[in-house]
Amino acid sequence: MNIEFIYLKNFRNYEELSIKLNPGINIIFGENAQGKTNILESIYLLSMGKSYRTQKYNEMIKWDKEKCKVYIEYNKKDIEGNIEFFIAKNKKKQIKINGVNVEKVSDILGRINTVMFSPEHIKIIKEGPVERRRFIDAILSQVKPSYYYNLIQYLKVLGQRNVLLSDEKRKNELGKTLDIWDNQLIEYGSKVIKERYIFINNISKTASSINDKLSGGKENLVLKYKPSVNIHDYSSDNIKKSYESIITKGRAKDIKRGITNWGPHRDELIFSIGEKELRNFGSQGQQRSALLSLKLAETIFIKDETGTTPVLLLDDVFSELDNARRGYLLEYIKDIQVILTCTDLNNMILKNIKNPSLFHVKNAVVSRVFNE
Amino acid sequence: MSYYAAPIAKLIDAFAKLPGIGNKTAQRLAFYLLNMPMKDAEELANAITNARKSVRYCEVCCNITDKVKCNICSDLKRDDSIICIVEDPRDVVAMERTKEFKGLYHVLHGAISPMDDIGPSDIRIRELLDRLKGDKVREIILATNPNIEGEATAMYISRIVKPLGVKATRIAHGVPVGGDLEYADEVTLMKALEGRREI
Repeated sequence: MNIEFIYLKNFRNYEELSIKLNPGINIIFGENAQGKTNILESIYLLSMGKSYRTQKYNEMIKWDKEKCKVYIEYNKKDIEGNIEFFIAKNKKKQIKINGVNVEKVSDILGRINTVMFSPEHIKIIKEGPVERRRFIDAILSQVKPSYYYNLIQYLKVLGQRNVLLSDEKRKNELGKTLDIWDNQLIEYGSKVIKERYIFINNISKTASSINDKLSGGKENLVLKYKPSVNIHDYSSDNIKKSYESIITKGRAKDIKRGITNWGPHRDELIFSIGEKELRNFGSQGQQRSALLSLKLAETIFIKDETGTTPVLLLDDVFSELDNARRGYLLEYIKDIQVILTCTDLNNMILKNIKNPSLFHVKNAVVSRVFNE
Repeated sequence: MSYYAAPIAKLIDAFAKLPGIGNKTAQRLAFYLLNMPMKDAEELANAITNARKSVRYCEVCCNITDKVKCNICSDLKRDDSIICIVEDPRDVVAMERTKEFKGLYHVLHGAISPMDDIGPSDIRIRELLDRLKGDKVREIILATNPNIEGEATAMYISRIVKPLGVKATRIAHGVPVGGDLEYADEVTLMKALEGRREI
């Protein structure tokens, strides 16, 4: 799929912006703090329904304004579509898909498929498990509405159950009242576990084969799902059974600690090269290769699931890659729409990319540049 | 600081406390009232106080009514062997509109939700159990909302009535009747698929 047109009004530092994108490579360049990333953020917002930089929608409104708007036209499998997103201070967000108002922000999930890649994403590999669960959830929510639903229900049940567990004055009722939440916790939690298992197995294979090419076959990248519930066989029935048994066995511990100790909210995804866990023992180069492999595998996964190639959003990624990895990435993105930001146009990029559209950003003004 | 004389400001504030009414609407309503004939305004005031004073909970089903026993509970033509359990008095009205259900109701006035500090003893479950003590009731229909709190409440009730030998059923959820499948949202369709049956 590709994004054809973007219009921003009072979004971040832009008063007004319209740009036409080409279906191949689009390069947004300029110095730091001019507004390059804000353009990527606006696309991400209409793809995922939220920003990846902030939880607060208000922060996306230009500082001296009351409301903002993002409008995008796209083409997906030869069908034109558009989404409008309005944010106003202290008001409900308003979203229109093809001109028609929709109720929930989640209604836009899965329409504009994107893969976002910025150097910050190295935290998926380096930091705590929260980042890895967020990575998994963001992708699956985009391609599977049922996953998003089950996850949200799971988190709601988990919230209720944790409040119940920590409420001193209801301690004596727990024998009767925990059961009614356990049942739903297991029901929704098991579905989340199953989807995550299938996803990780799938993406592990692709990421591993990409990493093979990047490392010249020297490094064997493996992604392994490590759910907090011990599971041997991932059939739906068995996941439920395993989850049920740990919830029953662990009840005393849950009550004692006043919190739920088992379930998808404690899942982990392990990246390793050979026997070596990447998070703690990988070199910087290995971690960066793994991340690049992971992001490209994400692109393939979304393509396989949705039947359409996602738009790749690359935020200042080139500066962090060495020549070999850059070359591989450039080779890889030949056939898909890419919107990338960089501080300067180096020859490496220009020589390797055919007919890119170039946009120069200076102080929230974007001008198209034609390359001789 | 208010720009209005005290009685008007007070009226506006009172309106603004109502759900779905902001400051501007509150002002509009207040000024409309001030321009009404005195008689109409008095009738409205009386209607409010009367409703507020005379409304009580039915001693059988806990629905709101102006009698000791509500119209449905005192209707001898209704089947008293089956009770439909709902969260809210408005749900009774919704069920009644079907004109299909001939049994009695029980209104819980809420659902179990630890986050809102509502436990089983905070909703009308004890009153329900009292009604099940005789052996008149054969079946209860759990028509609580299809969200996690409604499900939890339904499950809680079904568990405690099991030893009493009363059959507990849960209403089905799925695609709305009369609509086209293509307009049903994914989650509703998913639930409908899960609850499919052989024909």
